[in-house]
Amino acid sequence: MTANPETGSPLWQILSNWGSLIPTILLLLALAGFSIARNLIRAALLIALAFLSLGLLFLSLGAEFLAFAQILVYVGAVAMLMLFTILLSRPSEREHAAAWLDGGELLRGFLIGIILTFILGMFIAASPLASQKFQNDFPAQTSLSLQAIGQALIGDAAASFLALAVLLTAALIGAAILAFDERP
Amino acid sequence: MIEELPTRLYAWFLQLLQKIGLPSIIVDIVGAFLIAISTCAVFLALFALTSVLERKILARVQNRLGPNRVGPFGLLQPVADGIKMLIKEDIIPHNADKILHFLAPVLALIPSLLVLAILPYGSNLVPVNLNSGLLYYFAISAIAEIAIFLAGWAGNNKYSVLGAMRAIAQILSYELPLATSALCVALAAGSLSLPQIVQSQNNYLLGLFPNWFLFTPWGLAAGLVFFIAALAETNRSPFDLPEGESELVAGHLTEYSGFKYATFFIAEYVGMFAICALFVTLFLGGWLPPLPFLAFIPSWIWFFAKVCFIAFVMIWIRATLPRMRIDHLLSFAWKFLLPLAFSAFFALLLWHYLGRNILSSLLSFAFIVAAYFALGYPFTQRYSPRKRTYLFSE
Repeated sequence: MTANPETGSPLWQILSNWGSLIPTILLLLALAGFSIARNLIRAALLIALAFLSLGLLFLSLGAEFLAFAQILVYVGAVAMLMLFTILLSRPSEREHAAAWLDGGELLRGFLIGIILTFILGMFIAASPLASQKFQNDFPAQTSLSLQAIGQALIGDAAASFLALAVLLTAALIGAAILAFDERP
Repeated sequence: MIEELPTRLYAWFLQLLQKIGLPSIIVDIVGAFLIAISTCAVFLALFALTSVLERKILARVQNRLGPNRVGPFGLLQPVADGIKMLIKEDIIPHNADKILHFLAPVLALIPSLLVLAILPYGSNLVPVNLNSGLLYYFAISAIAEIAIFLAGWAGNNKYSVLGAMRAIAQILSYELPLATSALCVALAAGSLSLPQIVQSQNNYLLGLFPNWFLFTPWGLAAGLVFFIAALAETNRSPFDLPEGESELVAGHLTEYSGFKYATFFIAEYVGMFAICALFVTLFLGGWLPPLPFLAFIPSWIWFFAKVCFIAFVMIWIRATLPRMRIDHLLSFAWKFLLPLAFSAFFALLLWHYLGRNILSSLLSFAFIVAAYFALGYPFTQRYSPRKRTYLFSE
């Protein structure tokens, strides 16, 4: 007795074709809300929702391990850390009358966003990851076992794994320092 | 026959649906819903039963009678409690964030029901068989922390924010020993899938003694760490100080009343049963019988018997131990439980790489005992406060 639908059944077809639609919509809405919310706590909760829907998106694409690791690390740890940092470093966030950004701020933010997207897009297009040679060398794998991921993380990718961990720690400390407000 | 009763009923019902001519996609969806609803129903029924049995057991321990007015032996008490909670006024504070105030109890209940999906209830009763089931459990239970934060923040009350911060500090600190001790089991079984973890405990020493992970030297330490951390994760006594009803206002639950308050309790009790079930799966051989010749009793009866026993132990502990103080609680987690979980991890490595025989078991046991005494030594020292000097009195 199991609720896993059989591969090839009509339900499986629908889930595999349309399953990523809802998480994608949720992700975009949460990110939009995150960027226009003035209240920091609400913004942090919305980014937690975005992390969660990103996990669901990974799940709908069949990357089970990645999805659960995403939810565990980002919703359970990173979002909680953000909330703690906000609560411990800001006096009160309920003083703003408006909950969301107004029109002028939205327009400026939108323009900055477009410029940033353009610059990032140029970098991505120019990076070796996008080249045909890279895609030939490392073809996309349809299914990757848990053991293979584990062996890659402590084998070939160990150095980059550790470097990323250090980078993340540094980023979190930096964020805490930026958010810290010297009290009078 | 009884062993296969749930699966046969399920198959019979789906065949019935197919016979009356429903398209197969509807049958699939109905089947999935049926599994989800029956799993939730079993645990919600367990919650209702526990809510009265817990009070009965506590009363027995404290030499009282306990609830005995509603129905025979007071067994209809949960119905009365449910009606009371439903007809109470639902108070929303004037300055509260109304959406989040509504969302918090819902968000607390959903993860504790979601984690029920991956537990192996019997030899062929696994609602969803995931390859990384253990990781799923920890990922989903991380969402419950957000619910606690929401509950504290949405009420616009500084006491509930403080209570939520205390609750989250506790849950975050105890999640590390919990996950580390569960990781030991995953390493010993070589899998994150819960049915496979149960299978890897499926043999008997000399054909008699069960080979469960709790009965290995590292498993004893990891199991105890897991159990204590599980008590703290589910806010059970002696770690129930986020709520602390007799000393503080009710922490993050201060601004809740009526059925929203009850929803938090349902979430807490279902979460308690889920973590008992996870403990049974990881350390007590899941649905396996304790002795090989007892296998004629269906596996799911063994599973629920073990879960109810562990839940009973939790209630027993609640009746026995007084509540801890927050600084004791946190230093216990960081200075004792977490290092002990890591030493269980090293003991596991000793046990595994020296060949899983008697010698390696003895070595690993000696390591655990040494670690236990070394880590516990600072806690046995008498606390001697410095002499206080007062500025304005005297």
